[in-house]
Amino acid sequence: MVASSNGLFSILSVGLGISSGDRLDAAHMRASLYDASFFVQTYAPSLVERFYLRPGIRFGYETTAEAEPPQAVHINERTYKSGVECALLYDWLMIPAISLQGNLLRRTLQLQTAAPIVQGLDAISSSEWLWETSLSFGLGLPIAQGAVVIEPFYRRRWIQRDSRQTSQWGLDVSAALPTLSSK
Amino acid sequence: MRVLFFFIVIFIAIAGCADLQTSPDRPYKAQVLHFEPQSTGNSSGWSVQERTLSTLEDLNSLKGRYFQILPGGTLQITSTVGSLITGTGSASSSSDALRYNIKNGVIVPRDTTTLLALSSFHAFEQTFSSLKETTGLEPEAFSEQVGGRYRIFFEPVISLSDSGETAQISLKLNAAFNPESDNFFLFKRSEIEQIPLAANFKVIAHEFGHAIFKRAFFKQKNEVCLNTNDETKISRQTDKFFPGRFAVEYAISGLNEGFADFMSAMMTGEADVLTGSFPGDGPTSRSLTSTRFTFADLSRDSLCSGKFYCIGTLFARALYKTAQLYGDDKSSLYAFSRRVYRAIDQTSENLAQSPARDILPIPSTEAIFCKRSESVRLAYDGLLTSAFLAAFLQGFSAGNEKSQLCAQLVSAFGSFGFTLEARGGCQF
Repeated sequence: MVASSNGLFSILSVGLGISSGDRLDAAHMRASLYDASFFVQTYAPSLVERFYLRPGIRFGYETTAEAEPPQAVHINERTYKSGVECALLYDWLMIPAISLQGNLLRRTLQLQTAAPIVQGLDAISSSEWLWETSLSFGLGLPIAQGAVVIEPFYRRRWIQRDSRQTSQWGLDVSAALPTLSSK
Repeated sequence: MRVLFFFIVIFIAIAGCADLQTSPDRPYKAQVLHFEPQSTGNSSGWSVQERTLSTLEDLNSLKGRYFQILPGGTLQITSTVGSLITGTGSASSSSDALRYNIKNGVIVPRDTTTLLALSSFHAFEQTFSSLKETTGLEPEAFSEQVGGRYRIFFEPVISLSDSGETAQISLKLNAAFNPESDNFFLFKRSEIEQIPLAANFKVIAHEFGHAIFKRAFFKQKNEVCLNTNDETKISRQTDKFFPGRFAVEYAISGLNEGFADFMSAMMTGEADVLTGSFPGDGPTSRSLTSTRFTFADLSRDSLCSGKFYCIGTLFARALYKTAQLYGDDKSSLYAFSRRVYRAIDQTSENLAQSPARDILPIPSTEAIFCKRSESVRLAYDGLLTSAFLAAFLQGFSAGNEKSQLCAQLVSAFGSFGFTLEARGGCQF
């Protein structure tokens, strides 16, 4: 995909990403995170030969599953996120990339109770806006002469007011839009 | 490069975004899991609601006037006996364990761990607040005996010295008190539990009962049975009171569990320490109202799978049924509870006197070698419970209450666990 680029932002690609990971809280309780996202990216040459910038936007949804939630009470989390990202990548047989991302999260907290708890007024369930920054290390595998790129990645995340350790492994699959890549 | 510069600026701006969350004023109020005993009907006493944490001094470290909750941390366990453990706990250095919002001055948890940790604090606070009424002890004096604050390890990572997956699983579904270090341990929650044990007021009151038993019966001493040289072991064969004996005796540990169940019932008003966390009456039921087995039944494997606890259930059941003399009169119930505490406080001294001293059997081989039995031995453990009960009853004045208590003890322990020789103080 990158190798066929012949102009600034001449390639536009869209893709889907999935990722998952474990998260440990202060009590070392484990939760699994599952994330799906849709993204749009473009490519721009840098001042250094074979190095490219890949700015993009991404929209995603994330849910968590506590490893062993008690039956009667726990707080469930679901998160929608949208953000911008920019990767620095090297155009080679494979495409190593390092990516910086900034996301705005809309997280919903839901207190879930069951017998024997009798739930009255629920003051815990709420939604909150949070900032996230993350750093990803990926290795793109171009196929079909670069029209499609499959990129496994590792991502480390920092979320405002959330000190729980979070890192994820995932896979992005992107495809160049034909109308633009054929220019 | 301008694009890259743009993203770096965004990164720095977001990373530097300050957390403007401010701490509320004391006394702290928080949304916690609260238990209120229900006197009638089937309605549950559990709810998530706003409560005042009046003894909480520092929110982020969960440090209170009498105790501190320590989320995370590790626990190296060397042995377990029911909910009594020996081992070493080390606290986590994390200072930002709690995740919460402040809404109208109230702490609102943002995750399950924070909700349960605050709920544990609330439950311990309830036990300390009822200490004076149920035992006559002042909370300040009680916490001073351990240097000012009890340490409560909340969901620590556990490692076992003698290992074994079974032990790992049983610990997972438990809470514990370590009499050697005076630490409490609230083990990790699991999907088998309804209310996590770590936030169950009744379970926490039970563990607190062990700390009270240590003060009353063991006089706050660390009773440790040490394997020493052969000469010492030979001398133990005739020494009914060698140091550490009662710490390893199966029956005494069971009675310790029973006292803890009784304290839980007095503090919480509920007669089954496990309801709320586990549904229904299973084979390990600890109900003081629905169980029917007697001491003699403990020899049958099929009856009571948790024999260690079952000795305690017999003791707690007799105490609880005696307390029914006072109906719903709280002040009379608390007065009875204080008399029970004082009687336990005198029991170790009374054991060294007749008739208890004479009934007490010479130590078993297992006890001499500081080993714990794994099952009830009706004859041997029956003499131990008989001696204990004889000494315990000496702490009560003659009257209707003592007669009722004797009758209940006879009903529960029968002639095996409460021998005729031990009933000298009873007037039927």
